[in-house]
Amino acid sequence: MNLTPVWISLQLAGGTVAVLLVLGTPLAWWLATGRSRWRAAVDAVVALPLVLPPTVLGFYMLILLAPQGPVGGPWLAVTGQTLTFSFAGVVITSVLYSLPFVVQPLRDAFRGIGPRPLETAAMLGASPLDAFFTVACPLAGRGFVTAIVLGFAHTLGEFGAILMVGGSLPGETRTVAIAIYEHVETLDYAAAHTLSAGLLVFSFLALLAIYTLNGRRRLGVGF
Amino acid sequence: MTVPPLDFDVSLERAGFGLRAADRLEAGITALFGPSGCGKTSLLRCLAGLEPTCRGRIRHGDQHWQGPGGGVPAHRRPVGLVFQDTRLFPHLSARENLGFAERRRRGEGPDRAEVIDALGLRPLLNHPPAALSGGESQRVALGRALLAGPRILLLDEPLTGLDTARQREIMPLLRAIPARFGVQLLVVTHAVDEVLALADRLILMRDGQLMTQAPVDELYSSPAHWAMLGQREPAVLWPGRVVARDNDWGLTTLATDAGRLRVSGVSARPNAPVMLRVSARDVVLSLEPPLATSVLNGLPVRVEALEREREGLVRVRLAVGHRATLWTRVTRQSVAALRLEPGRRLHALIRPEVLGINH
Repeated sequence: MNLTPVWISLQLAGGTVAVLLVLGTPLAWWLATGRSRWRAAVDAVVALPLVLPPTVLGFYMLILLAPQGPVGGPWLAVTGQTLTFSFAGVVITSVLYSLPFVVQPLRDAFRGIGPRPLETAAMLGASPLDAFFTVACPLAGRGFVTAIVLGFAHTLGEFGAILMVGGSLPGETRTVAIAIYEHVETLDYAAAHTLSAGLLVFSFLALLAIYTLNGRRRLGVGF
Repeated sequence: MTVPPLDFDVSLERAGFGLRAADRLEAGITALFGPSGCGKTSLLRCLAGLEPTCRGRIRHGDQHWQGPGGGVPAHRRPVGLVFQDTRLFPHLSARENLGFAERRRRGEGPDRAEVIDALGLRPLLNHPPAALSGGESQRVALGRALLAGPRILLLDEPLTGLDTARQREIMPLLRAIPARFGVQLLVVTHAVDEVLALADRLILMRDGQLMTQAPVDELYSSPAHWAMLGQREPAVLWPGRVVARDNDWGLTTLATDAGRLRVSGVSARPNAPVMLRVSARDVVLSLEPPLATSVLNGLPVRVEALEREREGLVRVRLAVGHRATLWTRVTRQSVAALRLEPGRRLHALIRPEVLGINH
């Protein structure tokens, strides 16, 4: 059986989570500690992928990333490549699609820490950035684990938005979820079974890991 | 190491509460005393730079922490704040908590081993904060604050929540900090006993305002402040120094403004400062010099004033020795029997209470 879709899916999920950690951590920090009046609006935007049909997101992304689109156009000019029907375009779509699954656990973890540990760090001479990395992030460790596992698992399970933006190009944008669809279309139930069961077991184990971890560890002693 | 004074004139507005405080903090230990909710902790937070809405100016020597002359953010002020709830980092061991502060110290700071030994932290170093008792956490938090190398250390109720034994353990450690580490202390408290045992100077605070600042003995001995200090009985504080020790009887002779006094239970070196409290109930008046009594200390006194108190009782202010004052309470019958009136000379038998030996 062709295992390329598994490799594509893992690359996509890993890349998406990596991008989301870099972009989502400061965003989550801002949402947890900022005093801006825009906070509620940004919170709502971050949560949108939870309620929107993937086709809506996929449709807008298709317009944005198209060679004549506001993002796809400049990208084509700079790199000489199109974003639609490419792996990079699928990563960008996945980042938006999985945004709440990474940002919300991080935001809640940062919020749970409260201002006190950071005040304490300031009193010991730590700059705000120093305190963020040496105090806030370690104390939010459980939030990071949840964010990584949920973001990874959710990206693996993505179907509609990827199909619209990336199509089903073998070795480029055909992920496990899309490969299953193709196998069913071609009545190859055996292959569909194998991939489906693999995704099912992996998703269950990922969630089990999170719930076990959240049940056992209680951070926040002394705060 | 000289410690520059801290001058401040700050205000903080909150719903239903306003803080307005201006004063100068000198070297040594200053106690900030007042009822709960009067703004003591808010003032500490303003001085530390943790209140973004705090207005006014703060100057430490020639360094402007806040105000028109410039601003210094909290993490760059040479100030430490030990919170009432210690706030050790739960993800770090006691040793790592100390290391966190030491790596970020501003300017010079005390030696790590010296702090660890002075506070008895060595057996605690490998423990996580969750495994420490209240007193142990307080000691680690204090050591951590010292290792950050502050010039001013703000302590918010450092002894609250500790049992008496632990308080006795930490008190001398606090007392020794200014001389040993060149750090000035501002201690928030609502317990008079802590003030008496610890502080050189006392600031009284009420409803977000500073009432007065004075040396502890001066302020405590003045009748105007007894109500605020929650004192039911007239009492005075006498600072003294050890002059001699009689090992046969276990007695120490102290020199005070009132004269020489002999007390037991003080085993300090000669010249060590000692604080004594004399309450009205520990003073008995006698026409004769006290020869045939078990009281060790008798001093000649002169009646300065008589004040009627409750039914049948009179408060007597006495002048004693070199500009010292003493209070006692007698019945109206005794006033008549001893013919007490201003200017009358007689003898006072007193039993002073030793409050603390200042190292």
